[in-house]
Amino acid sequence: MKFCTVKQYFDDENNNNVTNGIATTVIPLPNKHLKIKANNKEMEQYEQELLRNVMPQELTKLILAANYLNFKEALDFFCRTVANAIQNKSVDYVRKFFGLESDFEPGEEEKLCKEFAWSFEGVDED
Amino acid sequence: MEAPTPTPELPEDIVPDILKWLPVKSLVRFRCVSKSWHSLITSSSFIHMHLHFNQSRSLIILARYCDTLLSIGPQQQQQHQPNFNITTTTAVDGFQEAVQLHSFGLVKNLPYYVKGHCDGLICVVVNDGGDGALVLWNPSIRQYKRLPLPRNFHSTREVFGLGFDSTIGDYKVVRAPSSYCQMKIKGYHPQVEVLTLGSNTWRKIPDEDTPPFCIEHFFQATNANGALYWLVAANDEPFRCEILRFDLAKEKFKVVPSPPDTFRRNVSWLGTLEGSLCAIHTQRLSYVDVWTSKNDETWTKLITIPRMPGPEASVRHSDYVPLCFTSNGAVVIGIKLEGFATYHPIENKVSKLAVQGVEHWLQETVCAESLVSPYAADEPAAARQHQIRSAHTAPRSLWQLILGVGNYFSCSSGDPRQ
Repeated sequence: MKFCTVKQYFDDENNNNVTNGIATTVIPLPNKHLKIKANNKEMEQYEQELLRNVMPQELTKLILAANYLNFKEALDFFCRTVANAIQNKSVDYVRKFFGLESDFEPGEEEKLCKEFAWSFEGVDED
Repeated sequence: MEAPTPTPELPEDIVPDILKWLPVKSLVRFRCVSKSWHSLITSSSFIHMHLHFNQSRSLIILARYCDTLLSIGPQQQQQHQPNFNITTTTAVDGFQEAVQLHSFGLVKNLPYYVKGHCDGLICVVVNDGGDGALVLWNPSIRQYKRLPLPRNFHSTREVFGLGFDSTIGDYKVVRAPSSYCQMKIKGYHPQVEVLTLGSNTWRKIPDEDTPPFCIEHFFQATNANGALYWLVAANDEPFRCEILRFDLAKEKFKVVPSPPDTFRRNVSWLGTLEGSLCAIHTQRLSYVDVWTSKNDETWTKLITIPRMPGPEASVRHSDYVPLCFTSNGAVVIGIKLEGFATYHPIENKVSKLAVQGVEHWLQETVCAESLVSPYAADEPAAARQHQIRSAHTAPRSLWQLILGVGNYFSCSSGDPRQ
């Protein structure tokens, strides 16, 4: 099923969702995944490598690509990688990462931050 | 990593797939990202999805005598399975150190019992020297709520359980007959009452559904298979135990058969492991069989734990309490008066587990790390919590003084079961 979707993608010239660069990372993944299925430690190393070599915003593109290709394992893997990347980051970092803006009423956000001040302890510096 | 440049926005249905991997602390903080993230993270569907997705991340909560509770774990989310060639494991990821839960200061210097727990919510009864308090507390999100007291509330001598009724999508607190009250309190009429979080009021169940059993107030209710379970004394044979089940949806009691035992011992411990009901018979021999049942009818042996050899084992015979499985397949065991251990089924070996910051504890509760709020969906949490603190400090400080003096004179292993 994975190969059918990939073939369809290559035939579909009007597709703007996925750039060629991304396709080269995503497509080799099934083989790598199958090869190292027995040893999850290598998957962790691959994840670390990915985080080092790929810019955070590329990760979101990888997610979009995996989602478009209906490639569940890759989607799960990239989602988890993004989660690990943002886990200890500040609210501002996360907003920038996902291209989001604060839409709270004035004072609403401060109230929330104050109520859960403990969750802001030990967060990575931006 | 530097703050990145803006990226293409992800479709909304993918955001939960990223957020579900995150621990509670991160998610609580990310509620401040935007209104839609706040909505998502506080939605009942996301909270339950996150809870079930992170089921294997257990938190071990230890209740102490008149002191704040301790928390061990949750274990780090491991991406890989370490191989089993490690012969002596003295530390298990995430369980090396106990943390004092100061945010639940309500219990400092007061006697209390954990009565039950469900989905990361813990039900505690505190003896505050006044009427007593019945509290629902989620240690992961550091929120607690005092529940209205049922009539004729006998504080820590009462029996409660906490569970989730999937037919109405709400949590229920169940008050059950107490042995202590039956024996010591004149005019005590055993009744069963239920409070749903949404209604916030107590409702009696029909008299004909009241079980002919009483429960010891120091037992925690076990929550599994859509029901609450307690160990009770059988009515026909004085020294026999039965397992009593309360169906949360149907609100009916029944006795379920105990696991078989060649020595015809009683079940001495009920709990859950991997989400299933588990039972252990009275421990005397050199190994401990942990039985499990998914349907309340057939029991199978889940695991057999050998007891640690050594001179202490025969002299100080503390029960082994299986707490949770770790990501590498070991089971963490609590041994009162001794500490913790882990058992690896493949190596068939029990090893001591060093946990810093723990000496003695009274009760162990293994719960999930969750976002489940003790407040009903439409209740403003912050306002309530403030009300609670300011209303009850005066009588508490007098009680604290009395207890403080009492503690000075009593021995450290005081039995709270007075």
